[in-house]
Amino acid sequence: MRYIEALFRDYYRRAQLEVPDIERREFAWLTRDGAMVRHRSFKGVEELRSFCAKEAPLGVYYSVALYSDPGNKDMEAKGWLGADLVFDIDGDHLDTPACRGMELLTLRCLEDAKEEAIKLLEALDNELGLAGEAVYSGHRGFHVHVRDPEVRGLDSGERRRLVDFITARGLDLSKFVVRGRRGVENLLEEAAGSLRRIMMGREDGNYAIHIDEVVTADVHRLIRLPRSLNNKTAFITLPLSKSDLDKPAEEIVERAIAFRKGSISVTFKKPVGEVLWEKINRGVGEEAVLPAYMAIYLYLQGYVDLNGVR
Amino acid sequence: MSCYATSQELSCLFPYLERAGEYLYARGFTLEAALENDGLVERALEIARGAMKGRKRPLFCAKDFEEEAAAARLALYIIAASGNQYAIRRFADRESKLFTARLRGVPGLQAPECKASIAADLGVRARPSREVVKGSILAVYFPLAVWWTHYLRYAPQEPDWAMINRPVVKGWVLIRVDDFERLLEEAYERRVLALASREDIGYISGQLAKRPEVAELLAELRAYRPVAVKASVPGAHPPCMQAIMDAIKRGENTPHVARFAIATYLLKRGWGVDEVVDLFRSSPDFNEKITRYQVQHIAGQVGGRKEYSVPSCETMNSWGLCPTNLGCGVKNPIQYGRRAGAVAKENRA
Ligand code: SF4
Repeated sequence: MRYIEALFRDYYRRAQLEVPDIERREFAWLTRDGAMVRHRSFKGVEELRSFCAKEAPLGVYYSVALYSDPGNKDMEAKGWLGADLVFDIDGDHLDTPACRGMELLTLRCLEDAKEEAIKLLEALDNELGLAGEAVYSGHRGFHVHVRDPEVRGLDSGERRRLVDFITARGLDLSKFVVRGRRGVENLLEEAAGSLRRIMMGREDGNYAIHIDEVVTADVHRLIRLPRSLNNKTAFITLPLSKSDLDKPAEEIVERAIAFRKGSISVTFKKPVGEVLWEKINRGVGEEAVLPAYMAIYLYLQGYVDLNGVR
Repeated sequence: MSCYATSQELSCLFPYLERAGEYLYARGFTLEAALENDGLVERALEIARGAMKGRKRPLFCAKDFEEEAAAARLALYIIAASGNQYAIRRFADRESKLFTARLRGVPGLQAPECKASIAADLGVRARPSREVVKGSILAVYFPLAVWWTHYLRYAPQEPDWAMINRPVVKGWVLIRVDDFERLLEEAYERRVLALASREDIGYISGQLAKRPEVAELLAELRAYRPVAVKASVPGAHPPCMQAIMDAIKRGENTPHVARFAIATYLLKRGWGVDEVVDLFRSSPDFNEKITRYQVQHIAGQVGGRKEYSVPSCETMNSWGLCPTNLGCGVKNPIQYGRRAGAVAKENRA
């Protein structure tokens, strides 16, 4: 663990963090002994970065909400000013053949999550006129942040109704069949905005975009800080451009690897088959020398013990 | 402005719009001035009393536009000063229904642009759909477009209104005119409620209490309670339904499924929608509009137009609502009375 700590510290020494409205956000982090520290605030990115370089927290989170007093422990006294709109798409929750029952990360499941993220970004733009920023979570999925002032004031009831819209809950296709002067018309054929999503959904019965509903509805949510390291993988929580999403998932994960150098000898505690682009195929008790990022990932997932750095 | 109505007339029709407030203020109708005007005070008392008694205000404004508008605002402040939430909600409900009736019925207000401008006053961003989806037949069926955040804020929280069931294009939710009016009704109701909880309501109360006839009504209003719950209908109710009714009458906050069950049951027993709504009146979170809609929905009068049947005993039991543990010897609570009747008949024979 001490080794990983040193790597994390080193990462944050050079990290380029970017946090819009940083002084209005609550921060939280996961300490080395697994405790969550909350209700902290930072005046600027540099203060945050040097804090991370010193403490090497395992995970760093910030509030989607903006507060007048973000460091206040009393939620009432924090002074909620509004919140970004965020969406969480987790491969773990997707019911696709590639994601069902997945334990270690596979690229196929990440592809499915990516498809969902693309669908979401398109719907946000096409249906609501919103520009979302996608972030690879550093593990099995994607986050989409919307910072438009337009969405900041939505309360949690309104967000819940927005979730219903995104997940197409309560969709009634008969609403789009109307009787007019030209006889019965199916308005879906106009294919404008949300009607296009419904039209396409009619082909595979999949009208919904699969998001984690709780995350979006929560106006006080803490979410993984972009460019921080994911405590479950040691991959970077990586902001993506629109064109990044068109690239294969493999390239995205490649770019999210923080620790490329060296290899580490490990002993397996659980059998491991395929992970990402590697076929590992080792049983319990077996040893292997793996690339550093892979060894650390498997260690954080509880699959191996680290023996030594080569 | 795109309405065929003068500012005075609009103020009279919709006295709680911001522009009505501004207009009246500019014309010298301050609270203090209004309280000096005997005729106006009398009219305000009449409006406030009328709302509590369920008396309807006329659809049209015929004369004394300004006085009528000022009296309506004064009436609201009187109700608000009573601090009685039942009275305030009832007043807001009635005024918002009147709002919709006027919006629908007054000829000069029928252009989409006019309705959109009234929406703007209520903080609802709207525009004619033809500006959003140029040349599409969508604009024919859904002439008005509401900005999505405002749709989420003001649309009634009913399954029929799920945003996914409206075309949503680049942030604009396209809706029918009647839906638009219904949405504005909600916004208007909230406007009335917001005015009733103004920060300076304490000061206003103080001013109002200086007039004895107003003070008298304030005392009455403080004691105002909604009509009592209907006692009971003849014929024995099964233990499950009796238990739910008792809980409701005690003012307990009963779970959604229990309310659903009792509503289906009573409707099947021949209760009218109004009677069922009245039963729920003593619930702490009672909202006339939502309850009415839900009951109508269950009765199959709105929405899917399918009347819901009474849940079976097995279902009731699985919801934890069967106190006898399926001990009545019927499959459905609705059969309980009938069976009791049948048993009685057998006994007579
Ligand atoms: S058995 Fe049926 S009718 Fe009797 S209490 Fe239970 S649910 Fe109600």
